[in-house]
Amino acid sequence: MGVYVLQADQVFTNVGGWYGELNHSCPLNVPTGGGSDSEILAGINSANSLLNKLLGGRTCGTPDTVGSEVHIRFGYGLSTNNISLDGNPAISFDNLVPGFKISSAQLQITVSLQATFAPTTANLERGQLDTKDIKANLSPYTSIFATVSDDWDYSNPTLGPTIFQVIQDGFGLDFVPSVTGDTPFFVKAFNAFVIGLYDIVADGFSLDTIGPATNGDTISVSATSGLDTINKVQIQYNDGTTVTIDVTSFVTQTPTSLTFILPFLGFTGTAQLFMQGTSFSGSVLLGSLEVLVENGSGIYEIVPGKTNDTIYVNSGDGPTTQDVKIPNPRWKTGYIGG
Amino acid sequence: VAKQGFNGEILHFNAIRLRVTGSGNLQLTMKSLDDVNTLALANTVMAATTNIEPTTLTNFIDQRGCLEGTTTLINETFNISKIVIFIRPIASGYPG
Repeated sequence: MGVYVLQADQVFTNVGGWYGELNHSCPLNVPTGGGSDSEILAGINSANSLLNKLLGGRTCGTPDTVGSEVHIRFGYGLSTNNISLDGNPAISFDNLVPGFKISSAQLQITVSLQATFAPTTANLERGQLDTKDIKANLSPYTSIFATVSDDWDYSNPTLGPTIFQVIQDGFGLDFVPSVTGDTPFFVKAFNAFVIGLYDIVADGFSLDTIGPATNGDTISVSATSGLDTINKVQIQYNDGTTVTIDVTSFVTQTPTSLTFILPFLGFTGTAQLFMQGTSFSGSVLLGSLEVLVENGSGIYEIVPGKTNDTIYVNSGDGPTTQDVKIPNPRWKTGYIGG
Repeated sequence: VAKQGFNGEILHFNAIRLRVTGSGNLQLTMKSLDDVNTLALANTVMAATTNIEPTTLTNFIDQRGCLEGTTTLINETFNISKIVIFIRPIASGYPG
């Protein structure tokens, strides 16, 4: 068992979030458009309260509720070094060992209120560690400078936190003003991370299939024991695309071996595989697999005068066509002599 | 009785002449039975129209032989209407 710390490296959605430098009650250097994703990430991940931060609030001098709410969601890339285990340098999800499982998750973030006049009520900030409809409130804001946190709600979903859910959902922050009157105020947020406990499942799960794999390929998993309790395999791609393979779709399943057919995933690149079962809570990271989409087939059409073949290929922009040479057309005379 | 064809004589293939149009390079190769012996000839540069039938020299000696042509690049084409192969027997056969 150890402690992991996870920092965001992607901005999934951003409504109303600013990036800039606070000077007491008024933000300075607020860029047009609120700042780039990389700037906002730098602000939210920074541990230094004096540098630029993620900001939200009413505009200085023209107090109004318009645009004063902030709804922003952060996430994680699979190949970015964003998770640190036991204080070691951060590594990527792609490089985590098979069997990696989390047993807890807590969002921690430091927030600070800057106001011309201290509001009488200030329940401004809410954290959202998952995508459940009812958002979990961070601790109500009570001071100018506070560190707040949000534990994963173990009752929703009932399976509890999983590494799959943490990667899939990321975390969200809402700044919803509830102060009365028209007091100008701003909230800055920084030093945000998810922290929790992790385990390496001792059954030695191993992804035996070496990519790249295409749809229709058989994917093999082996273990010293426990694979007969697996009831779900989840495959997630970098862009959040997720495919779930249910136990009814497994080809073979024994305590030491499990195979299933890779379905059509609709993407090409590195995907992460997770397993859920009944012998442990949450989900287990199985490993990464390079996935290729098969080139599409087509109907061969004879075109008079055509001097090449045209095939369907998959590119980064989707299926397209490409002209290729006819494989070395040749002729040969009959044998002379006898 | 007039002799018809050949009966195991060793042949000297000394030239070929083609009537060919198209595009790209036509790559010619002389080949023996089972491709045991091969000889690559000079490429024939093809054009959509031509008024000549170029003669390509070769120096290929074998009991039986054939001529093979191919293109290897995309959009190369050939249209051959005549093939002449010049040969001459130079020995009566291989000893057993």
